[in-house]
Amino acid sequence: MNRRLPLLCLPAVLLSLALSLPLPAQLELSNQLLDDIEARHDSYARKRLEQWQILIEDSQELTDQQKLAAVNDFFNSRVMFTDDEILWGREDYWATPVETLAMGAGDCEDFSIAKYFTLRELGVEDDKMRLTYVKATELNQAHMVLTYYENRRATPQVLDNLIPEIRTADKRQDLVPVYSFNGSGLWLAKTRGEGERVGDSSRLSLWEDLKARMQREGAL
Amino acid sequence: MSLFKQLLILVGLLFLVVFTINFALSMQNIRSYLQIESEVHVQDTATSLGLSLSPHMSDENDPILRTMMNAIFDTGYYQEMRLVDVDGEVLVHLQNPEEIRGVPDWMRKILPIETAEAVSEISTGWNIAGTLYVTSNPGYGYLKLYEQFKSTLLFTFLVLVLSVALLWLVLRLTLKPLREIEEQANQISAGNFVETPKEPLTLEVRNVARAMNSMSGKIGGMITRMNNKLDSLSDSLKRDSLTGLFNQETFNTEIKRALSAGEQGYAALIKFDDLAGFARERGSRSVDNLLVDFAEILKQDNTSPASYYRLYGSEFAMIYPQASEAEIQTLAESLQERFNHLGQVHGIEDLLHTGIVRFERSSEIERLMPAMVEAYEQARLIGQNAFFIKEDSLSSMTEMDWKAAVEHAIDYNTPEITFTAEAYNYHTDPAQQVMREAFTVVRNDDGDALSIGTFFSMAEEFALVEALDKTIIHKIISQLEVSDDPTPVTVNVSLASISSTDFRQWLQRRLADSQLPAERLAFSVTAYAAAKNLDAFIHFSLFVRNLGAKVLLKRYTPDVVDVDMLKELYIDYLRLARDMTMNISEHASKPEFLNLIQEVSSLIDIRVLAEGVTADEDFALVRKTGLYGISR
Repeated sequence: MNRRLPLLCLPAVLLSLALSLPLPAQLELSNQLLDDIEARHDSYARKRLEQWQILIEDSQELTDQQKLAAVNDFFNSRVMFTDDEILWGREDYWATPVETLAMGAGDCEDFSIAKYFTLRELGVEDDKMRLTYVKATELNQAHMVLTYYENRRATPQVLDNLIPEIRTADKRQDLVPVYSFNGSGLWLAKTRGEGERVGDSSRLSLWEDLKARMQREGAL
Repeated sequence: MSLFKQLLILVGLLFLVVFTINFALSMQNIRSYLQIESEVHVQDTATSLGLSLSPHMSDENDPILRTMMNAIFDTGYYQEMRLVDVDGEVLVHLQNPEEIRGVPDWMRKILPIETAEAVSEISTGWNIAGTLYVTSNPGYGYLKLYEQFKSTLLFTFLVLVLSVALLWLVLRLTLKPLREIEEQANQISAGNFVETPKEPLTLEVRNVARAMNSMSGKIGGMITRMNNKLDSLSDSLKRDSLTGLFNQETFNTEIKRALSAGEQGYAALIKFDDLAGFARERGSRSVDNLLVDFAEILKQDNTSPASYYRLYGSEFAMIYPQASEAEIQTLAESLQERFNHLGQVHGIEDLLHTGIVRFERSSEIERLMPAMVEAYEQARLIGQNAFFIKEDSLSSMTEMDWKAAVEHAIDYNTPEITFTAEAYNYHTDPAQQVMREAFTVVRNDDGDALSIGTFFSMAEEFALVEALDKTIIHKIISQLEVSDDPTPVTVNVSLASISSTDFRQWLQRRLADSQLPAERLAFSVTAYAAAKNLDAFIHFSLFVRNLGAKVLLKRYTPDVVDVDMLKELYIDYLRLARDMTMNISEHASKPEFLNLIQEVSSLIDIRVLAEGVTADEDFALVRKTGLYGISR
């Protein structure tokens, strides 16, 4: 991670690059974006993003369980947990998956969002996923995980960055669930809290919003 | 439509559009705000109530669930609350009736507020335990919106009314100078060269006002200068150059005027018996001295209102209006005494004689001069410088005979109309006929023409002139209706008729009934009659102008009606008194007078006519001045 980069300017630079690009429906990271990220970060950043694209392209035909495992492994192995304060200079910043992968770092929310987004890209139903606020008892701090419900009565599987593998919730005594949102509910609450998007056109899901932000970055 | 109304309507409409759009946007914004607020509110409720219910969801039959939901629901802000378990079974269902009071239906149609619904998932531990649905009650939103609608509408309306009122005021102030300029233009067009005193604030209007003022000032100044010159000219025109007494033309005008006005009084012929002999003996200078001394005696007569005139070389005249027998006797005696003294001074005892005749309203002008000569001859028989007063009637008929003659003419429609005094415009070749006069002839039983001046004078005296005018005008119009001649006709009208409302109504009806184009008639009043009642004349002029006919002021001399006044009389034609265009070459100031009157008239858009220009020499001079029409 190169801390000297003017990171907050990145979206604007990326936007200017992206304006000349077509907007494909499927996630497709352009060479220009990748070159730019490589120039700003390093070749590892570029590589992480290329691997991410390959993951999405290659995992379309897998079962939900295989997709969960692949995505969980991908992010847990390539992204280092870091506080927003250190990474972004802000107490709470929800990074896009591109930003997270470019930095190679993120906090629990960035992990959860990146996984949620990638699984949505892979066609996992929104209704089966929840972003769940939990208390990590061993660390004694607020934490967020992505949970997957096979059906509404099932015990969810927990995709967490604290441990590498996916376990069912009953195997996670270290976590106390507090509240869960699906993608759109969480996003509405979050954007209102930031005083944005109070108009009629603001009813975007987290997923749609992330897509929009990534389009501006040139990732889509 | 006036500029003021156009601007008021245009800007007023723009205001209305702007305020309406503003109002609509404002209502839309309020609606949108209330909608979002409602969504946020139900979402917050769903989230927080969901969090509160979570610990109790392990027992789906726990009454605390309903109790907690009731507590929130009963605040009244919600239409519906529904708690369902994970299988979709309804655990608790709370609902308010869908009624919204105090808000009209049209309001809900125009500005609908959607019922906001929020969903919150409830879990027990890691497991999903159910879903809470919360729906807002739009009634509160509608009520708030309706209140806003009313207050915003009222406020918008008040601001609109104030804006239009302010606009009205600003337009009034801005356009006031324009109205003043318009008024000024009308005044200038009518010949009144007024200036607007206040300079308008608006640049363009100010420039127009300045230009108008400058133009008005220049033309007005020119007319005033000409008028001043005319005043001095016209006075010199009326006087004899040697003696400074009024001249023969003035006498003729005055005596005619007095007779036609039905006045009574005395007129005298004062004649030196042998001025030629005196000249032979003493030389012409002595004659001049004698005449100047003689004139001085007449001018020194301050005791009576008599006026004195020099007719020819040795013949003088006097008019003493309204005099009684005793008064003329006293004056004549007083004058004889002074003439005696004058004779002694100049060494001729028997110098002159005075023949005095009485005139009255029935007197005929044709009989006046012979009677004066006759009286003079009588005076010569009496003695040195003697006078003779002839009291015989100057009329061939008694007043009663005249009255009968007038009544007969009216009752039997006997006046004969001839069209004479054809005036031509010599600007074109051949000259074009531009005016003719309808002349009335009335005959007695023997077929002889009656003195028309006296006839009208008597008609006026017996209050028959209006009826006589109607008879004559009716006849003129009837004759013109069957005539192909398009030349306008001068129609004489008496002062009594032009002042009469009844006459005007009759004239309006008569013209309305006729196919005759009204502009072919030029109603004519003498300058002397008009001067006696200018207001009545001006009203008549405007009335005639509205009918589409023309107005002619005849027998005009600037001493009767000031040139300055002409522009306010709304006349179309001005016919000069005959004297003004007679013997022009004998008066150095006459050509100048004619030139000036022509210039002034062209400035104030009046056509000048000269009548009875018989002498070729006079005609050549009049033609040179470029007057509109000349009759010979």
